[in-house]
Amino acid sequence: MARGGPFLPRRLTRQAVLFLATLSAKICAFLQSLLGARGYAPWAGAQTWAYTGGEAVTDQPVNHAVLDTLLAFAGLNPPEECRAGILANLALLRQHGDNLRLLDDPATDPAEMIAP
Amino acid sequence: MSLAATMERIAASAALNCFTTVLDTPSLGGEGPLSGTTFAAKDLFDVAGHITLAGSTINRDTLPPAAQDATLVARLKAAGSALVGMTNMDEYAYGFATENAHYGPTRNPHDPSRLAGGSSGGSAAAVAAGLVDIALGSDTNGSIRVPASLCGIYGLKPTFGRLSRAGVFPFVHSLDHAGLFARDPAMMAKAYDAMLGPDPRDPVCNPAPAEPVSPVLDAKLPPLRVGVLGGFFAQGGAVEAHAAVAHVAQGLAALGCAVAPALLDGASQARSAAFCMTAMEGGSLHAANLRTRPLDFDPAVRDRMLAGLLMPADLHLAARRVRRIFADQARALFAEFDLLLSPATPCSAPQIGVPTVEIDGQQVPVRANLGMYCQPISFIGLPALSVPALCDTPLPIGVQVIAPAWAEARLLQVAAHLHAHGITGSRPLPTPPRQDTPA
Repeated sequence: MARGGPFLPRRLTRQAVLFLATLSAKICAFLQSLLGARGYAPWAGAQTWAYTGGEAVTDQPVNHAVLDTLLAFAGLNPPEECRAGILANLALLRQHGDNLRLLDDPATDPAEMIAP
Repeated sequence: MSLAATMERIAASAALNCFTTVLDTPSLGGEGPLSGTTFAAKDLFDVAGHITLAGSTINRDTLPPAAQDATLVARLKAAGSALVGMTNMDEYAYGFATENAHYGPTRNPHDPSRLAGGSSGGSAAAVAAGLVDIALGSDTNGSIRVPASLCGIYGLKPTFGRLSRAGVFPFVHSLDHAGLFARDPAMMAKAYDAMLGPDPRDPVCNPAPAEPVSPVLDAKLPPLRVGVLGGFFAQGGAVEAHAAVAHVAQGLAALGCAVAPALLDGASQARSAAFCMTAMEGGSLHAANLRTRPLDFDPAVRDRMLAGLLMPADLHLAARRVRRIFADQARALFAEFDLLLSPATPCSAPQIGVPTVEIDGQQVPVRANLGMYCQPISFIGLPALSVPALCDTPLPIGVQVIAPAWAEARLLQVAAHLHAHGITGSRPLPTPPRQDTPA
């Protein structure tokens, strides 16, 4: 049996995967350019949260558009009256996150015991 | 005081709002080392037959009554103490104020217009007001040491894993500690000893045999090496906080200890790591209810937890690494010192209803900052005792005495000597306690 599967020859499978990956990337790029042109670029904020390594990568504030994305990704839909409080706390957590990274060393073993 | 007199006094002090439940039929204390004493439990300790509110209405509406007592409640009862009720707290233990949106604020017995501190504020105020002899609390970031400081009593947060958390409603599993309040170290030691010991119901409870502290309490104080923490711990506090530390340091020097400045590097980062980990783990614990019924939470708690739910996992991993780095630094410092001192709180009790407090010339949020000096210590599980400094400050304020892991006996022995020499201790309350503040 061919490694590509019971019905497809391996070469055809590889071509199909390549085609689908290219198509997905193009669709994503198109959507990003479309939303970005309208001033809606939540991924930039998300990037800030994911990759601050000792210093803030960007000073971009967590605005309502970023908050929408984060909430949607987390499966949350809190009422409007929660948003100001969430934003204030995100800002506080961001400050503390930046501060703790001044001591962090990603190579450190947290060495937390797990009972066998 | 008889049990009947205790119940009368509790009723007369209702305006302090210490209790969420006062038991109609208090458990009668039997024979044991705590016979004749009374205690209260923060309303996140299970008490058989009662719903564990944890300061929330969600628990009230959704949880069944507890089937059995929390281990520490059961052990105090078994030692002869009588349980009289469950005490008010910040919702889900998230806060340093005990300004609960559902059950109201707990008032400070020394000035009812001021905070009792939190999150175990009801327990601390009940002890400070003389309503009970002992009270149970929990401490994740300072929730025993902060209200002990503001209410002018002793508050012990033992080493992580020392006292069982079985039957305690969780907040942040990796940081939650159970502990207690008392007006004097001898009573605290007796109650602490009664609660010691392994507990198979709590997976992090130390399986080693109990190490009672009462037998060593009155032994001669050795010439301990005491470090007064500078750096982070010397910044950002009001004058009275640092005056209290200086007072206790001078007292220990007079008792024969060698007192010197000490630096614990990374405390600010450890505090930040505890701050982030708390929001993330607390948010995760309550994620289901935050999704389905956010408006049933105390808004201040809800918004902090929702923000925590939005943090990337990378931040939690970084916080765990910081914990290891900081714990190693603390261990190294304890090669030079036997005890460390710092303020327990950056100021004495702020006014109720005022969201910010002025510290070092800046307005900072009360809820987030009252525990700033406690957070780095509980973050690495070290035992710490807030002792009430008897110095020239208008309101009570505590000093945090910190020991190496498992050295609670040293903490309580030092406290006993400070207490015996009038360096620390509870102040008399305004008589009669002011009841004129609107509830």
